[in-house]
Amino acid sequence: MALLAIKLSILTFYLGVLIYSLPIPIRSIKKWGPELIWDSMLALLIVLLYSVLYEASFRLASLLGGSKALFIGWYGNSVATALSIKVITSILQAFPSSLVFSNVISALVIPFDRIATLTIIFLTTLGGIGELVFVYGIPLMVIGVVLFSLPFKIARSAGAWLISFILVFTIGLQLLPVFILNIASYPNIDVENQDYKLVAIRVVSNLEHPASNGILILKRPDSSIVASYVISSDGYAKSKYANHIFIAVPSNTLYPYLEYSGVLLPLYPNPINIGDYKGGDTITLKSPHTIIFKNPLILVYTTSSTYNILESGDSYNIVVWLNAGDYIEARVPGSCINNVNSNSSIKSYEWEWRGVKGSAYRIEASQPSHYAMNITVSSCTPVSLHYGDTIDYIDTVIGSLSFFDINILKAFILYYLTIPAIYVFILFLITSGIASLLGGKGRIPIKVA
Amino acid sequence: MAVDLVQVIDEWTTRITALAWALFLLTWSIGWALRGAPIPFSKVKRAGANLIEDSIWAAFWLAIGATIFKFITYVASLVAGALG
Repeated sequence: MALLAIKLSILTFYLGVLIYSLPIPIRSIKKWGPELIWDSMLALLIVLLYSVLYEASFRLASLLGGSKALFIGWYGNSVATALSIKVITSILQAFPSSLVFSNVISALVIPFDRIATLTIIFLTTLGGIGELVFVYGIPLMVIGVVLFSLPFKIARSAGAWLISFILVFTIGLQLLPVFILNIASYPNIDVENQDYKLVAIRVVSNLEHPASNGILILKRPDSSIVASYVISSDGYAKSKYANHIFIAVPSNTLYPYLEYSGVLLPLYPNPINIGDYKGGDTITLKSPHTIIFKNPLILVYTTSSTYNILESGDSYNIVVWLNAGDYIEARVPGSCINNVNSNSSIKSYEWEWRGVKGSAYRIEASQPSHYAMNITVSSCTPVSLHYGDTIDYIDTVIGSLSFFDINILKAFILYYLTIPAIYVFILFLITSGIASLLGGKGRIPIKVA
Repeated sequence: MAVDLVQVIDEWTTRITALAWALFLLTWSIGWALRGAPIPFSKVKRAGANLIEDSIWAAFWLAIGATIFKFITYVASLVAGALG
């Protein structure tokens, strides 16, 4: 493509010479001769220098204190902050009105939500421009250079604009964070460093069955319960206030457990350090002792860790290695028709959990050996569960949302919207200036008498 | 596709150069003819003089065209060396 531009500028030169040598004494035609000749020389110079100028813009930017990494870092942080605010405001907006917030928080939830949306749109546009100049910079400059070298100034102003756009924004975007920090101070929205994180937690068995309708319990090292959440049918712990999958958890080391059909099962990794995760991450917790989770509330679990399962339709054939003292147990709600048999003796008893009654079948090992259980469960009528009494950590957090403050809203708008928008506008003005310097005023060069 | 286009442009350039040389001679002759013609209008004579001048310029640029491109390439490499 660059070769095309070189050939075009040489063609322009000889076109100019041709016009010079025409035996037509009309000034308005003849004046194109020298114009084309000068155009072609400038075009050739630009063609030979565009990649050098592109590289030089990176060096110039780093001399002034900017860099591509700086821009990408600033961009990433800003988008993450805006997204975190958006998640929080959408949770807060989903709360029933019976939950009492302070007046300031209620008043500022919607403005923060709108501003976060606007910021995300603006920043993503900026990020798109960044990708354009950093990843596609050279190809776009080549197109600009080819347009610039077309004879008779046909696309000269377009080419000039494209070239100056790439150069100006390559330098400009790298210096954007420097510009902003020199004018405004970073608004103290420490969303990431609050003592909680908004994450999605999914609870599954080793075979990836979701633990639907179970209750996720998070305990502190001293065994006090810090929060608990009901698990939805796709395995995600859900806040009782919101429809989406994000829950608030404290950013420390927690011990997760699952209460399912009346059994308390530990979940792995145990303990889990929430501080290692970022807001918006999805954490998968596994219950290694669980062989089967099945809706509704059907549970087969064991104290051992090695088992084999064969599934055919509604029936499961499980073989497990148990040491003395280990057991395997199946729990089935009373609303299901079930059949449990084994080659060893089965103890059965009743259980009740969240208003659902059912039967439990336990095989206890008296000596180390393989034990087999065959369980068939079918025709389950839907169970009606009493609502789990859960503690949503967001209740603990609400009182400490320190950034719902009008001054911080003002600082946020200034830092993430107003100043970057002014800067980008300045960059566009500079682009037009350099473009008209390179390519002329962009008027159609036909003299009207 | 781009390579074909480059070849087409190369052909055009060669043809235009040949045409320009031929036209230079023609214009130069017409210019002198107009200057020397017994037509009593000064506009004609001026037109003739302009044609002569333009044709000499055309010949000049034709002759040193390649040298100019080499010179521009040299200047570009100097700038590249200074910036790079």
